[in-house]
Amino acid sequence: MESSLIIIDKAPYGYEDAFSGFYVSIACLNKELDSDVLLIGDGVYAALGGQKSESGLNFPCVEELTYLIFPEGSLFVHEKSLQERGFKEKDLVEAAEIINDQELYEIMAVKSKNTAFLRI
Amino acid sequence: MIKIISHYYSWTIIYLEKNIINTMIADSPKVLTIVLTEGPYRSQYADMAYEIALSALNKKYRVNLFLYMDATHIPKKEQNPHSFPNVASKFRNIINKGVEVRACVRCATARGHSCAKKPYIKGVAITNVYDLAGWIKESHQVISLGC
Repeated sequence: MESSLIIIDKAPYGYEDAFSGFYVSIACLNKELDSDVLLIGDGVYAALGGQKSESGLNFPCVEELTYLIFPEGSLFVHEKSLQERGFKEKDLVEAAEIINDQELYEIMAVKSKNTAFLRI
Repeated sequence: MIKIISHYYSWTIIYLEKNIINTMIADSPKVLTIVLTEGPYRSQYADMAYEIALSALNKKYRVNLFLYMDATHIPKKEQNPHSFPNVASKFRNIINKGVEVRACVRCATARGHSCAKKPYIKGVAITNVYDLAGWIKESHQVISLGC
């Protein structure tokens, strides 16, 4: 494989998945394998700025992990999922790149060969 | 003259080496990596991974299986399910057929499967997520299974 796209569709707290998904992406980048993260559905919550999970939930802050993939990897945030949950671009971390359905299709089309799609 | 002959032989050797490497690449099996994130019994993902691994082996693939998050429960020793087939036995079977199985150390430790106590069936290595990244890189196909 030449790259990986980690798809996260669960909220960052209450599930381990977002946290673990970012870990896979960080590991791929460390192994010099291109890697991006796509946040879709409830996964978009992982891109919100100002998370304070360490003080309240005693859970590692997923927001900080978003900075560990940037700028080598992209953090795609699905626009429709974001709007459906009442958020705007200003609510997101700096690394977030909002993509609409057409852009998502284009990313998928470009990556259809030699890319590992992992839904975590 | 000697210099020209030596030059000719060097190029011949390089040509032969290239051919040998190309043949090796063509002959080497394709690699499938399966990433499992769900535990046993609550879902059929472990059984699906088993069936996919068997089929891939029959198609002459080399198969890697990475156990992540709750999937690190799957190869636990001494499972005794009364209503379902024993997943660990299935995994023992594919390990014996050559499937390489590794479990994430962070996930396994969190669930009490510590390296020191040998919690798993023979052939399962406890390793880290960087191994998964390496496997993804060398793979021709990657499948992730989980809720």
